[in-house]
Amino acid sequence: MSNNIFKIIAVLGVFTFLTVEAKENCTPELKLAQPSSIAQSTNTDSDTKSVFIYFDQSLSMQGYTKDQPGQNNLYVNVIDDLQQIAENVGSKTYYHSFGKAIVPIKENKISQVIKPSFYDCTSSAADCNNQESKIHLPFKMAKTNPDGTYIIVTDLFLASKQLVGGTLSQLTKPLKSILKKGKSVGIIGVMSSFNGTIYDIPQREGGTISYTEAQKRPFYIIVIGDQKDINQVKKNLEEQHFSDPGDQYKYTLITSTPILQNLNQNKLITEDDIKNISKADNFKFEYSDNFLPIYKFDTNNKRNLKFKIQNSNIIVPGSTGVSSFKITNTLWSSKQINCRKINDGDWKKDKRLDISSIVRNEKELNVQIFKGSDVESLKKIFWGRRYFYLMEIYAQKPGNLSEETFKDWSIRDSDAEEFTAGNPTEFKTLNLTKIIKILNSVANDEFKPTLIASLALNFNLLK
Amino acid sequence: MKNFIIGIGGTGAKCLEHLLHCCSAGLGPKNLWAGMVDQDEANGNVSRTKILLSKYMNLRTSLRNEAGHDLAKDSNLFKTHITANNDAVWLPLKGADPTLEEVIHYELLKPEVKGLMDCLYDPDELKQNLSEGFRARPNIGAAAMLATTANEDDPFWSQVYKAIDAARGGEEVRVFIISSIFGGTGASGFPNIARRIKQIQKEKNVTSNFHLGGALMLPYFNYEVPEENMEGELYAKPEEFLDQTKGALQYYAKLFEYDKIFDQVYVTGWDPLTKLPNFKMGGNLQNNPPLFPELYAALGALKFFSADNKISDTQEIFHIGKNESNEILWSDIPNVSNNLNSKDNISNLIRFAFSYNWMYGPALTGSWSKIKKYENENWFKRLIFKNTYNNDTKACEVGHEQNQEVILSMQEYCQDVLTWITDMQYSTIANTDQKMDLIISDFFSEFAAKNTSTRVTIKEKLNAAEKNQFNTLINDSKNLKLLNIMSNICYKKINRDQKGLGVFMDILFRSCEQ
Amino acid sequence: MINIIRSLILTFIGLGPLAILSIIFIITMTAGLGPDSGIAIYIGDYIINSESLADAGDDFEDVSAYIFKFFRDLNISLLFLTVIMTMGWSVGSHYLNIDAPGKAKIYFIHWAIFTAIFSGLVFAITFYFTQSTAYQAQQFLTGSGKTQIVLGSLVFYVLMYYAGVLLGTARFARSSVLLANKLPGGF
Repeated sequence: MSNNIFKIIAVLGVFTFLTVEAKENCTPELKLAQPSSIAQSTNTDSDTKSVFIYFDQSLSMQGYTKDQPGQNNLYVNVIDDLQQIAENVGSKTYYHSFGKAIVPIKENKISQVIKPSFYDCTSSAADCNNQESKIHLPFKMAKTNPDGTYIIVTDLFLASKQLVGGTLSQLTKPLKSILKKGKSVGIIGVMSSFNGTIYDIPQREGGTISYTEAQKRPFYIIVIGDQKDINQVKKNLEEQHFSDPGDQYKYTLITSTPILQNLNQNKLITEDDIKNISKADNFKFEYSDNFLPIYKFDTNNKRNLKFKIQNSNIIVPGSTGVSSFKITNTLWSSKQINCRKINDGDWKKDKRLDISSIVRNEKELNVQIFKGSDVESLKKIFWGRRYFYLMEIYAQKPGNLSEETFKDWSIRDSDAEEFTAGNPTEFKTLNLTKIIKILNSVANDEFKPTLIASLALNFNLLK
Repeated sequence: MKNFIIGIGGTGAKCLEHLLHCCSAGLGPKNLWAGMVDQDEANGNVSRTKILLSKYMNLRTSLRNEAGHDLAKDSNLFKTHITANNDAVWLPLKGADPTLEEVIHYELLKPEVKGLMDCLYDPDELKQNLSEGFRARPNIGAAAMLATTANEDDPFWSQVYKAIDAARGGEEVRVFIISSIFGGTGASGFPNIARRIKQIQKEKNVTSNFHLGGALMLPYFNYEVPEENMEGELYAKPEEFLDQTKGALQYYAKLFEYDKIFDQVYVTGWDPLTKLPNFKMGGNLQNNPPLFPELYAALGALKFFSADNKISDTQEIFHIGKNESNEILWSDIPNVSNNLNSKDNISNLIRFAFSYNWMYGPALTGSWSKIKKYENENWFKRLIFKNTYNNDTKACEVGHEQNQEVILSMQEYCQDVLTWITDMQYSTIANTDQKMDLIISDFFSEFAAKNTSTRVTIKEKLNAAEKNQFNTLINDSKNLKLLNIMSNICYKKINRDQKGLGVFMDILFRSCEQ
Repeated sequence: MINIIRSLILTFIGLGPLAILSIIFIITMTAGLGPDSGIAIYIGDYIINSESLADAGDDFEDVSAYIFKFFRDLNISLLFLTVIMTMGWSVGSHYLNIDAPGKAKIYFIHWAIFTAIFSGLVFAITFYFTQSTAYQAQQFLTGSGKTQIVLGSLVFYVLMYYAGVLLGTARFARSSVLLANKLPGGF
């Protein structure tokens, strides 16, 4: 008998609780933006993926294979380990050289790449593959077969005439296609010893010169593929070859999606992301069914609301980053502050749009809620009401960090002769910044504003 | 009803002084004729009363003038219409330096009559210069009075004859005489003037409507006579007063037994006797202070004159004294009638005198240029400005001479009131164990007992603290402040019949009522 | 006592005209106004911040209940204060120590201070209503609206008070009140 009574009471209690809970109407009708897919990885398993390596066979590369006394020859070391690094990324590796054309290299001939003879050519100039570096060729291959990972080893010494018009579009078109498919291009620049001739240094008045006095010079490993694979290659290279403090290397990632992830998807937004909000009266933090984090609290108009996002949570490391963010927001108010008594018609939409603002620094993104030009503080909205504030943060424009990264290794066509006349021992790469810029602009063209985070504040503004 | 009062001798004059102040306070009858009898023409007390009488009559005339300033008939201030002869004092013996010898024509008397006179009077007494009174010799006074009281043509006695004629005509007439039972003029005048009046009444065959009352003052003061320069002089010896009184009372007892001369007699005295500091044989230096027992006589007279006083056919003798303690209180002062409370009226007058003398009188004194600073004050607007405004000249004439005369006269009278009450209070208890604090007076006056001419000096101005003591002026439990006076004069209803300065005077007087 | 009652009657006569207006206004605010009424239009145009309301998705009708309650309570407070202070002065004037001719004008200082205190209280009350968060309607008011309310209330209620004390001050104390001594002596 008492058991039955207990059961009845329990059922009634649950029913009441559910009824009560069901009656709360603390949210207006929302239209949430869906996060775009920021998938950085493909479903392709590394067991089935192929890796294609392309070695620049131009004569200017020969100097990397000869040791320079007193200098660290990283080129030889890296090429030596490239096969093993490639196997970490894919199951099968295919080697090629490129210059005027792409020429496959048998596996047993890989070791030749680190020998000076690889870059020699006894045939006529028209038949030799070492007279130029048609860097677009491997890109074209990557466009054709996007599932693979492409590694290009080159000195990236491109004259301006190769970066204009049709020649340029030969590079940008496949790149566009690659990026569109969600692939990225990682560029690892390595300062290595050099003992040879640098050809095709442009002169001011036309023509080219050569230079033989360089002792150091950067070469580049361009990796085209999934960000995951690019990172893997970079990581391997770092661990194996760039551990000495004196080792100089630079890295950038050209991608149409510098955004790492949408924070809502994995419920990465927590109550601590708004400082001290948990101390507010009647504070409650929960995720709605559609991954929207809702901060519910009571406050007076003196509170400062700052939502913080770590850059490392949203920006792909090494990428161009994001140059500007955008906030779209909507503010509703209800004169009825008791959630249970709010009817649908009680929510009124505020016409003001610029309610919050963003302040950035190197490490984090701070969103100052209720500090926009339309609403400068909580004092500008009426107290004695319940508010529902929905905020969506977008990465609006990609950044240009990578241009800065490689700036000091770059020399322009117009400055090359004068630079050479200075007898530098450490030679720069021709038009490097320009190349990066071009690559970036292609990537930026493919960039779409990406939803980083959505959150809602449901608060009772007290006097 | 016609009323007549005769004050005989110095005491009679002093009692009349009290009576005049009581009349100005509204305790008196509607009308009253006042006269004094004193052989000592220059007597200080008589002179003082004469002056006061003159002031009263003049002020009343000024303030009861339907064409000018009118207090209106309902006002208690100077209610009694007092009249008097041009010379209010009747001298039994006229001429310079009269003697009894000359009055009785001693030289022309037959020898046997001469012999009789020699038996009755000492040679000194026959030759005594009577111009300064009878020197406490009622035997001299009686003879002198009997020799001269029959003259109908005398202005004084003609009033008596007129009074009796009026009674014969059907109007009720009351005559009251006051004197001391001891001393000279009073002791001799009281029975003889009374009998003479009665005689005239009988001669005129007036049997009704005529009533005679009297107040007899038994000894109530004494003084020390200096030894030097008194040898051979006739003067009133205080140690003889009691013997004289005893003798006189025996006489009156017999008189009243056999002859109903008075309808009502009021008898009073005092114990212990007030010690007066000054002895003067007579003349203007005999200026004794007002004393409390005299107030009893005055109130007795006013009670006699009161319409509520039903005079019976049988002679009535009233005596009065104070409470048994050493302290003289307001309760010791009897009411004149059921409607007339002596204490209320007298204290009302004192408050009026105070507030007028120091607060309002000075404000109204001077030219218009000085007075006009008050022109926006409510009391001034409603009581003064409106009632002294001349429509022809379109100006307020309060600063004009005729108005200023009235204002200053009233201020003088108020000072007299304050002096009178202060002097009475101090002098009555001086050199005795008695206490009298009917009013608190030390904050507005100074008392010098030995200064005959100016025993009491009223301060010309009072400071704020002194003015604030107004509410303790009258020593009773009630607390009327100057603020209340000011409030009252702004709110009291103005009698329609009142005119000119009479408006202000009456309103101020009524405002001082508790 | 009767003089004090007389003063109070005159006080109420003095207060009367403006007090009636105030009471009518209070009743109107209690009953509420239609959107087309002159007062509502004036409030909407000049007193409240219609733009802010519009931004928040509201209009005058949405906040009218708060606005009316605000004005009603404000005027009740001010009317109550004015009546009390005026009666206080009128009664108190009978107890001023004006016991001699010429003394009343000294108390002008007292009246001036009393009036200043009263004005200060009126200002404080309107300030409280318009600046503090006691009333929700306060946040809907513009700066100029608040100024109009403060100044308008000050002028209106000080005038009401002045009319009351002008007539209600004790006769003998009239010289302490500005121009009150111009009243006829019999009044």
